Amino acid sequence: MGLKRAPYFVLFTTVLIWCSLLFAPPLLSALEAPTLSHVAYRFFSRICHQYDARSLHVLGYPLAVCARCSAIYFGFLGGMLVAALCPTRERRRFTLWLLLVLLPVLIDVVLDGTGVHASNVFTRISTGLIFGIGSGVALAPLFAEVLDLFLSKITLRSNFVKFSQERENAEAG
Amino acid sequence: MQKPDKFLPALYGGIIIGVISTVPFLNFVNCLCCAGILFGGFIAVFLYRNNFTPDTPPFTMGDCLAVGAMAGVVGAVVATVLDQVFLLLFGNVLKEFILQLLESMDLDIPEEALEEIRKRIEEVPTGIVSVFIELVFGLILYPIFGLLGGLIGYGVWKPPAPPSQTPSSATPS
Repeated sequence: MGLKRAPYFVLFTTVLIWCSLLFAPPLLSALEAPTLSHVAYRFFSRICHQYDARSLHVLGYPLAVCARCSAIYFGFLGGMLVAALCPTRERRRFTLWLLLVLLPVLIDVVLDGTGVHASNVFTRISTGLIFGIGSGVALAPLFAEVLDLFLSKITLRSNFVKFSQERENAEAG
Repeated sequence: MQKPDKFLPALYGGIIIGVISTVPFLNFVNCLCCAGILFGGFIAVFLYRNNFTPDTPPFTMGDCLAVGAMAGVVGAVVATVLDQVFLLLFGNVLKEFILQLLESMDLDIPEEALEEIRKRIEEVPTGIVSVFIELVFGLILYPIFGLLGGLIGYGVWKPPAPPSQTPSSATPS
């Protein structure tokens, strides 16, 4: 694996772990581990309302976050995959792009809040997916840039240590 | 010349995160994929960027990530403290509002489900251990989303890359 692909791999694995964690509370509930399940639900309660009626269910129990949040996270995972397969350093119109993908979510939330139109599972998931994929595509190259720098530093450091050891050995010999 | 201090922008960003996450009804903003926390990290980067002058070296992505994550740490502490202050001063306003709303609305919800909702809402975490657990959860989650906000801030305000000098343009004719 080349160094350019490595950051995307690390990134994708991290987001995949995060998305997998969303299944932990319902699975723990299904496995009859109520204390652990309660702790897991409480952990995610800091970042989502967790209303049962607005959540997707697994084995009869709601996921750790609501349907919209779940769609955003899984969309983000998909967006990262897209960015990894078609890597680009172009970041023109970054702000416009983010606002554009956020717009459907905002419209759905505002129309629901004002009573103009009642949001449903389809609108929540679809708007969440649009935002998730869009933000994943936009942010993945930035994340990859940081990780690339970090991994390069580690590689340089390990090469330097290896070189120093070889020189010491040569001098001792 | 050294880069500006990161602490003050992170502190202001953290206070914004804490206020958004705690003030009743305003904290609904966080239901949209932690928008409040992302916003705090984003604002922290904005304030950090404003401290740069033409003499200072340009800010890097690492700087923005650090400021965003620091804002998240401050935000977790501020949110936990403010949460307790609001509970002491006003009680659980949101809980009472939701209970009143449920009672006033003529919803076709089974009595068992309604009782479960009431039970969940009544479960207000109290005690020093509970506050500590909330703080720990916040210290894990808020820096992650603050960091994301910092990354978005970098994407929006990224300093323009210096023009690359080609040998033909660099060499005077």
